[in-house]
Amino acid sequence: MHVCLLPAEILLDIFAIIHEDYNSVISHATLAALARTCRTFKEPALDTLWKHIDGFEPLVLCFPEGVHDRDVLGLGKLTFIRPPFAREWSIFSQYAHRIRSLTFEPSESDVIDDRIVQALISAPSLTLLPNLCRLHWFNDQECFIPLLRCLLVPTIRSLELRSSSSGTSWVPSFAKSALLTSLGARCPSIREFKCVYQSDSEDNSDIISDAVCGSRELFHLETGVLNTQALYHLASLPSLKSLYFRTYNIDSTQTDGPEFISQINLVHIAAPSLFALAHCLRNIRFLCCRSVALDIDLNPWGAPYDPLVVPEFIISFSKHFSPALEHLSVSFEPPLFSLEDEDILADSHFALAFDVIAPLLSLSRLTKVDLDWICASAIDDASLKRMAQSWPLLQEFYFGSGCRWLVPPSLTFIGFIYLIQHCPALRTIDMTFCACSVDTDSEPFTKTIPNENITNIFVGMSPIVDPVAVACQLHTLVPNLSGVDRFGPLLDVDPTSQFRNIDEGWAKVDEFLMVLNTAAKMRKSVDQATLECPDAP
Amino acid sequence: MVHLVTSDNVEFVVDKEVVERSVLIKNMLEDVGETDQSIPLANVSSAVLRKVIEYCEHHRGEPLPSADADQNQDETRKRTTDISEWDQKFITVDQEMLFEIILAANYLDIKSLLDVGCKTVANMIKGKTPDEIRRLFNIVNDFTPEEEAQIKKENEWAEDR
Repeated sequence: MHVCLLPAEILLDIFAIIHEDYNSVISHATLAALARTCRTFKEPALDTLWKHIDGFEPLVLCFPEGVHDRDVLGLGKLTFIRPPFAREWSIFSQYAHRIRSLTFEPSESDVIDDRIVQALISAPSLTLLPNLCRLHWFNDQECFIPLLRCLLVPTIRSLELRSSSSGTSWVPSFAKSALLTSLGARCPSIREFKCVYQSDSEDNSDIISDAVCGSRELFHLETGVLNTQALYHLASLPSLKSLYFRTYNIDSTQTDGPEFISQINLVHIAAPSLFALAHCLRNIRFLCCRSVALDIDLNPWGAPYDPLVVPEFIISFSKHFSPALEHLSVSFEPPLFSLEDEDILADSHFALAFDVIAPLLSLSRLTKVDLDWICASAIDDASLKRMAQSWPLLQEFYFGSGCRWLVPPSLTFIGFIYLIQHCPALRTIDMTFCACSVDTDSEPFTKTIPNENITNIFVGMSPIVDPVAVACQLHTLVPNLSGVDRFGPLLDVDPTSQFRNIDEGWAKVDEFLMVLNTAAKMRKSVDQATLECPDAP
Repeated sequence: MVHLVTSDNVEFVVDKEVVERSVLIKNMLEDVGETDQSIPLANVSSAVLRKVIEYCEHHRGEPLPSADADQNQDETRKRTTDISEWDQKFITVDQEMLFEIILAANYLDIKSLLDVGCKTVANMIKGKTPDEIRRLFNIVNDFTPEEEAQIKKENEWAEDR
């Protein structure tokens, strides 16, 4: 058996492994070497080498010498000395048809000049890269839009448009808008589309929405503001599995919005305010969604949220997402942990009552609840017990600990114990509570099975009394707990006595936990040794 | 137990759980149901099947790659060329046997074994020049010097980066 007798599909698999190696310098050179080892290797090696390229330089360099050159005056840019002839385009075409994926970044656009662009858009074949499936166009320059137009072919499955590889959006222009509105006709089989067409203006929203409405096979969409028509279109797509969009302040009070019936794995909605988000949720219904992430822009000059809007938001949310929901995450952008305004942090108006959270209890399959921004100071142990009983599958719980609230919490260590008792799968707890020792001879302590999944907890601004007792009880309930994270002291703020010296208190807990863990390990070693040598003195 | 007959007419009796690491045989058994009849493997010799069974025995009980895994193998997924210690020792065979194992893994549809074989060949090739690859596999250069030079020229970008 000789290597050349291996079927082409296996050679392709071997060469793909070489291509996927993280050291692209060696992998590219090896594939180029394989291509000229023998005729059997040539085609699979070139197919693999050219499957993905960055920029157009490799294709331009395929043309014979005398067609291209480096423009010394133009900072070494590649240029054409003369337009390529038909026979030379056939060399180009031999390689162009192998390309399945192209990334075009500013660093690649900087190395080709206008002549190259002119020649490429005038290529004799109707499609420049006829088998292109994935295009990552990270470029804003208008002069390259004609080139982009040539690349939008019916084979495209995945398209991402951004200003640069590190940018998040694509700066709007007339040429880009014209191209986007023709996207559905040019690339009818797009499955993955990522383009945040900057700004929340209604015009741009209509442009990107028009592009979305033309796509009938979308699997993943990541974009900015969408109009109602686009949302109705998306709701009708059985293929859609993940959706990321932005909503904006709307005055209209629509009552009958789109209903997403098919299963969606992830919905991510960003909004300028909690009010806008509540309004959006009132009008959209997701009947079968597994995970939802909601981002709210933080108003840097005002209150983080209006406590009077939160109930409406939670009610809309619980009504419009089905009980099949597993992950719920609501967060502010930027996060609230940087907030240091004492007037806000100590204002009890932000504290939300249990009635506000109660509508979420119907989501019984939740494994992740991330509401770390709320001020949970008005929620007591009995309420947390009901929450824990309603969400028995909980694995991650972030509740009121993402902000340095200085409103004394009603929750105590008892509430923490209820969580451990009723949610045995928990592995992450971030919450604020008043940590004081409890009666270890009565319920719920005596009825709680220790949780061995948790190794670390975050307690935010939790006040603490008697750190030694708290550490011992924590160690009993969470035997693998190795440390407790918390916020550092607030600068320029003189909080009430309850919130003073929090850091020192929890540092003591950390110290005792270390001692307790060491003792537990020693005990385990002794037990092990006793088991192995039962007769030893 | 499942009876397998190789191309050189040797019969192997193998535990069902072991042999079902082959998707081909698993599907066959599902289609046919419980049977005492031998399954002929016309493309696999006894020496190769012995090695394949050794591999399947060692990996008995490990989860099989799902059908979705193939679909998810898009351009963004990176495979490592790492091979576990046992697999590495197992696949340390002469080239003839290595390619036969790869062919058998492909025919029997044992994805993980095919992966080990392909990774081994990939590791042998990585970083070598055309001459070194030809020497390694005893390949005759069937290009004219002009053809080879043209391929080199058109793919020069790949040597530079």
